Amino acid sequence: MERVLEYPKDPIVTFSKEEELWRNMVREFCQKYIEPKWIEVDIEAEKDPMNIPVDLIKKMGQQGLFCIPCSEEYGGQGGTYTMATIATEEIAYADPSVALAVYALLNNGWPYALELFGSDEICQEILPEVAKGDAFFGIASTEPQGGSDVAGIRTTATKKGDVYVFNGEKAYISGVGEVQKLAWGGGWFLIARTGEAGHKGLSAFALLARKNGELNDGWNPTLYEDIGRHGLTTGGFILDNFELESKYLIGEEGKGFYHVMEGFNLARIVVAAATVGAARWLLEKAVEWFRNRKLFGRNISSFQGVSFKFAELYARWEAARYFVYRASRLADKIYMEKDPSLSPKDLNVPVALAKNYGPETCVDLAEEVMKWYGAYAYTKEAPIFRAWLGPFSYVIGAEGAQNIMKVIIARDIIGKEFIR
Amino acid sequence: MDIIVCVKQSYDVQQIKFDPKTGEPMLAGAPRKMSDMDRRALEEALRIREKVGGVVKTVSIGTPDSRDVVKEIYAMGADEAYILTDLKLEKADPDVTARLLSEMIKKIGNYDLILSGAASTDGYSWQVPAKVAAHLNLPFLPNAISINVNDAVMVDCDLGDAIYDYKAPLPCMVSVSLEINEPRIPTLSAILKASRKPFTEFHIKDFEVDLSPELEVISTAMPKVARKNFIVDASDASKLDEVRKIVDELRKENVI
Repeated sequence: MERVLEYPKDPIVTFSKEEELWRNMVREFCQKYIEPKWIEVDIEAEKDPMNIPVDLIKKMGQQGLFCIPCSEEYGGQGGTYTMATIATEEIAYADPSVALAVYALLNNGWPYALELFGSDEICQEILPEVAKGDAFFGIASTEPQGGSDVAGIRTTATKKGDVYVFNGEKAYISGVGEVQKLAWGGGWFLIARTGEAGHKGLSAFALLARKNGELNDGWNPTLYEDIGRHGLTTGGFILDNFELESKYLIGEEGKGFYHVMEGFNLARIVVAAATVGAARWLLEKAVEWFRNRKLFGRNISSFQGVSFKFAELYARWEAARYFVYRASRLADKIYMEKDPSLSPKDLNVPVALAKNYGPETCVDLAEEVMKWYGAYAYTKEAPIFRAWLGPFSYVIGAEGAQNIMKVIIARDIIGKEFIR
Repeated sequence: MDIIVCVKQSYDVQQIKFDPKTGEPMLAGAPRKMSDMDRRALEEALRIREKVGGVVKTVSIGTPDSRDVVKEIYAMGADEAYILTDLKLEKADPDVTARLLSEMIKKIGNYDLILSGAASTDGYSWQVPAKVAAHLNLPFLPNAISINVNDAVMVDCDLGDAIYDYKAPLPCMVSVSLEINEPRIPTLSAILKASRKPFTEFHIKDFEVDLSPELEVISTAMPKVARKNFIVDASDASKLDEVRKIVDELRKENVI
């Protein structure tokens, strides 16, 4: 298919032949199955959040778009984190509301975090179902009192014999509808307090609200009505004496904070990739418009007030793309290649730069494109607003607030003791 | 069932840019992809293998950068890939291509069915499959939209005016059209495995084939279509009759 915008020829961020072929295959899948459907998905799920595109999710699973970096023994693709990043960027280009891209990125980042820290037994149980598109596996950290203060989490998990008993509430959680509707079910990489106050009292669990099609007792969900990215549900749930076998503890008790921070670093790379993909779609919409739209007898891009703004935003998009792929390459070196000169902390700043820069660039671009389109963009007939409202969730703070990204950058560059 | 599929790495014609001065396509560094109809031929071969068992082999020729097609061939599921690449083949015409492909097929031997796209995405000559069949002295069924194989091959061929049902003994050569199937899209896991799978390379010197083309290419420049710039002034209500001129003009051009 002819592309309005040529993908940058870049000698710094380069891709192998396998990665190029993978990108082309994902593009082909998206052109065939996602591009013709994404607006319909957005419209239908706006009417009712439970209008989840189950068939499309299943098809994406069959195409191997989930659990990309997970091992083949767990039903994954045995790919790299960069390959998950490429897929996310392309899915978001095809669905710039980013609903399907966010479904995909959650079900790449968090299953991989589970594989990094979880036991073989729970990976064998959960990951093949996620890979097939029959189960959802995301993150459940945020609570009604806020999301940024992870160390202040209040949900408790009390060990009683061979089970943990959970009490508390999680809020603004993706996938609350999906775990109820997908064939197998699913759950979350959930953080709860098992010990003292502060981050050292937190543990991570693979909490399955529903498995093998059976809903577990003590999980009481509610769904929210989002303003955008319809097709992926957001909701909350109350855990009321919810019991979970202790085998679902991820890693060691008391290490949950550290595990979830590494998981957030991984997930934020693909979050930023989704906004880079949606932004590429927006740039193309702008270029198409500039080449056809005439005012005062000239193309509107002949006014420098328009073309200079476009140039600035294009530069920001290229920078965002660079941040994203630098972070994903680093993740590959740390987690796949086990480069001894690197540690997971080396991802903090590169990831925070990508997560801080990608979503803001995408949303700023969407606003400008809407202005360039004029009144037409304010109608629901023009699809631009869908690429504005979806990515905006990541400016507000999903997967880490923008100010938290700045805290991470300042803390790691200036030094922890100098920013208190 | 041993099936050999002819697969070309063609230019992605939708992404080719043209020199604005000469109108010629700018092929240096232009994106490549497996030819659309060849991809369907490979898909059909894989489906036949899935039904009746057997082995799917592919033959390809082209310039050295055509080797990339092997990754996609294996990712789709072929068992063995054979390729001949040489810079001299940059301008190979349909006849040279067919001669080399048939020599490669003879060397590989053991085949029941040969499949190919009816035409390549870039060259689009529609000649290669028939020429390969002629060189191999095989029955040839063109433009298949469905294939059924048992001890013979039954093919629905779209010959433009109608769909013809043909039956041919094996071995035979069948070219397929775009309508025959929807090819599979390989998964990442298949792509990664494909990149580790060895393939066989042939060289021009392996064959006594005359590389002199029979076709003289005079130009591949994009045809210039000048706009007619037919302007009708209907700028106010008194000139509305002028609109009829647009209808007359469109009728003259057989547009309506």
